[in-house]
Amino acid sequence: MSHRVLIADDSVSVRTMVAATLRGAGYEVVEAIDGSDALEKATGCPPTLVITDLNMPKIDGIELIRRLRAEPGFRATPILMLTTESQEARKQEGRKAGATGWIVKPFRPDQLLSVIKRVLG
Amino acid sequence: MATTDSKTTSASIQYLTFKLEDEVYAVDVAKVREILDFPPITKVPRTPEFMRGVINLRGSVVPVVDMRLKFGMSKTEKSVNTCIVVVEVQLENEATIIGALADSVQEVIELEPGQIEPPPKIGSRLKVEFLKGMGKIGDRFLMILDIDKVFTSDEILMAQDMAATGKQVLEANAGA
Amino acid sequence: MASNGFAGTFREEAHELLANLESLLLDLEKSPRDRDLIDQVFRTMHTIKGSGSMFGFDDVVAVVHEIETVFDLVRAGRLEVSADLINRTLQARDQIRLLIDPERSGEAPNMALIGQLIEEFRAFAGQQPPQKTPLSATTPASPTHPAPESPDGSPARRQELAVEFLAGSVPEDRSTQGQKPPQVFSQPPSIEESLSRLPGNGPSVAPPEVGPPDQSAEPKSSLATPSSEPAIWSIRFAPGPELFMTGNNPVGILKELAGLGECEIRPDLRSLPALESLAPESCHLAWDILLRTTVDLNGIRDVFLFVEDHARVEITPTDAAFQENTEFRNSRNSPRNSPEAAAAPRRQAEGRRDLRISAEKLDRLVELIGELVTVQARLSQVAAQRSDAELTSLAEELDRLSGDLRDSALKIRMLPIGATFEALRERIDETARHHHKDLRVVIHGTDTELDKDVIERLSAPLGQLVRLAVVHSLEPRATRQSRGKPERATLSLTAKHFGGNLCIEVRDDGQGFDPAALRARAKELGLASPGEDPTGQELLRLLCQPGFFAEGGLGVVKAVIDDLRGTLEIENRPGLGLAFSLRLPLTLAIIEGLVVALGTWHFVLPLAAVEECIELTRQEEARTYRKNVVMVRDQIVPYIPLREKFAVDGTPPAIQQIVIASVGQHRVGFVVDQVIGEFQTVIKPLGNFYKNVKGISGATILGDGSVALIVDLTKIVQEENHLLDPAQQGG
Repeated sequence: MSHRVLIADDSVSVRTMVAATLRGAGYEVVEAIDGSDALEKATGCPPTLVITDLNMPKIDGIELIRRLRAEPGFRATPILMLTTESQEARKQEGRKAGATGWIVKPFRPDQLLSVIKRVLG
Repeated sequence: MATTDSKTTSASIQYLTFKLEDEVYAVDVAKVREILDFPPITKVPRTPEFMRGVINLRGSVVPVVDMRLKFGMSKTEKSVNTCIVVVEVQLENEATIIGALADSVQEVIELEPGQIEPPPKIGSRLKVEFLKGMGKIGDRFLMILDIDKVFTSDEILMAQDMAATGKQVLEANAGA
Repeated sequence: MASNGFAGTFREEAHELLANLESLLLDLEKSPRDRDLIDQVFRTMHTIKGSGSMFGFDDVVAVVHEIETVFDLVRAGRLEVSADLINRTLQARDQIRLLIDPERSGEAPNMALIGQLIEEFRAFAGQQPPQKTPLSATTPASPTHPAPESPDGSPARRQELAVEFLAGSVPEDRSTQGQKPPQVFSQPPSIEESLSRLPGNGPSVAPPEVGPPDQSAEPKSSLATPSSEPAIWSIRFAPGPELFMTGNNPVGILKELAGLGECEIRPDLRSLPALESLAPESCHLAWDILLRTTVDLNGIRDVFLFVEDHARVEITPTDAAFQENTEFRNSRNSPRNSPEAAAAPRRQAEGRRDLRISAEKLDRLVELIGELVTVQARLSQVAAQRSDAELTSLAEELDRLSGDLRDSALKIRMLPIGATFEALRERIDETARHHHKDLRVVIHGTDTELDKDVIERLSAPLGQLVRLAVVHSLEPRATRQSRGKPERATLSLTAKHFGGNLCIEVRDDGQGFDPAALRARAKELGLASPGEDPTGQELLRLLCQPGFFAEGGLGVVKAVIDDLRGTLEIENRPGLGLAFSLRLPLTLAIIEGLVVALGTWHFVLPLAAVEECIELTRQEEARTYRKNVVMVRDQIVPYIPLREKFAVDGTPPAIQQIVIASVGQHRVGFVVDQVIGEFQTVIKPLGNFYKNVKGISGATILGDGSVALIVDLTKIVQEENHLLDPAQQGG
């Protein structure tokens, strides 16, 4: 059972780090550079987990969560937000939009993997 | 002739009568457990055609015999009146429940010993040993079956050996 | 370190962002109210901050955080873009570039200037009206939170602490800013010093371990802070029905809990509605958990962080000893206690109050229960047809009860295996003496119970397994010595219940079978040569060949196990020993079956024998015309069309299924029209009337009340032996 994870972050370094961590742990990873790219890639080949940054150009993370949750195929897909500690309000907004959980930057690879395990079971 | 004229009417026995084609047969009600509508029957492969298969009788698996085939008539076709007379017989000295497929069940009658004649030696398509005697009501005759002998295992075993070795085309599941 | 690569990536990324920032700022100077530009500046700062924090650029983060805060205010309309702000930001931008990559710029960052800029940005932020403090207004204040120097562990929770700390204390810092010029920069400090003394910044708030990723220094287990003494917690986890719609998975949460320590989890099915009214997207389950862990309350609560809003979570410490969980809160409510749990007190209280019951009475009881189960099945069907939820729920209740009743009745027939093992011990000793082997016998699980009939039939095959082990696997004392093994060999007999089956293992620490010797023996017997190192079923089939061993082969063992509808497995570790594992049904009265269709007929194949199902197309059938063989994983497997065996009318479907089964020493396919599915049921004898029918071992009643026949695979294969042997040898 291989999980396909979609990581959406406009920061190439964070995206690369998350992707490398996940690939190292045996997950299949799809990278998206912003919200609209993520939306396109998510509907093309539905992932089992979405990880998204909140601040992104074009479609931001919150809007991405909202749009994904509106798709029938994504009603129960785990969606994790990458937040920073100063984004408490945004985090709450994301939860309202249907996010499953969150990881606060900075995080270590092992922390990321442990949170992913929690939502993927 | 009646075997014993000395018996009183109190020795009379109740019989269940049923029809195969247009012949009327009778079986001692003491042997009859119940009467069922025609249920779905599961054919057991590699068995002779008269062994129609098995049914689910309240959780027990009960074999069903097509009496018409058994007695050399054509196969019983399902109709509204077709039913299964469930009887308890002695098979290899063990009480065994078997369903007998009949075209229709008639009635329960009471016959005094005087109303029963010994089976004819010839002229019946049945083997004589299957019969206990011929009952007579008015001008009608009915054949009283010795149901234990009808289902003697010898014959069935023979039939099975035949089925196991010979090539026999079987009908598919007779459930319909 | 892996993060070096990412640090490089970050430098590149930041350079690009900062280059772009310059033109953004210049544009913004011309149109200071352009929302889009303001957003872009903010986002640039936010990205640098977020990413920088990931890769250890704490000094960069410290500066960027201040700028971000200011532009957040601008974005919120609480602050105007001024020429001064643009200038300061451009200045800051240059310094940030130097901070990120001084080597590339060939210039060291001006720390004094950076300190000054930080102050100025704070001053910008301070210009906004005090009552409009955005952070404190939008985040719940939690002033009395545990100090950050004792963080509890898991990432999310820890950062949660950081957030709350920030929310509670940062505005305070800011409010004192005006009156109290910081002494921090009164003399040029090192960047480390200055940053460590900066109040209210993310990196300084967060505990040290959250800083730069340092995999080597941080053991994984540090995710939860252990306290000294393990404590026992009773946890009730009752998710709301909407849980799945948040993408949360209770399994992950339960697994994570189980990872914290010794854990016992019991599902609470009381809210589970009838299938009829069950909404599949809703969560209907709750769990009661006993957890023995060194992790503290916060650590446990962390696990539930994502589901706090969508579940009732009660975590209470308990004083009860973990082992004595007889008073486990949910055990009396649980609709289906495990038979083992129910049996435990009984066994204790048992004493010698045994009762002799005639086998006939027991059989009658089991028979009656069988009837009850069938009536119940029909009731369920009627309930379903009527779409009556109440009736359905009653039928389900009855289903559970009759299932329990059946299990309890079958348990009466169960005996512990201990006596069989003890008898075996004697035989082992005898065999060992005879073959001059020195060994000790270790027995586990003597209390394990199984059906009396099964026990009786097991003793011969177990004896044979043990004999093979003693004779062929155990080495003489001298050989063991030379191989550095303990002089005395160990042979263990273990019985346990697992997954509704009885598992028996015969294991030794001898030499196992030498693959070369096996191949040589196969050649002697004119058998097809096995692979380099035959294992698993291949090895088993080889050992089952008649005449393979002088003292009688494995064939007889396999035959009995097959007959009991069990499975036999072998693990051969050359030089290290041999292990046989038997898996048997706990009772002969119940069958785990695979329901298949042939025409309108349904048959049941014993599941224990089934290995896999593959498709048989007409083309494939034609290709091997009259040979009736298929290739399954490079092995030729003969198959038997059950349609022909059972003289089924009509034509088979275009694609048939071959059920590959292990029967005796053969691997055989049975061709059926269709595989319906797995099914557990009570076996019904066909009785005297059908007792001589070959190839059918019994009957069973399917869910719809119809009768299905159980195929006797062994008999069918025996009939086809002439076909199988050449094929098998050819393989």
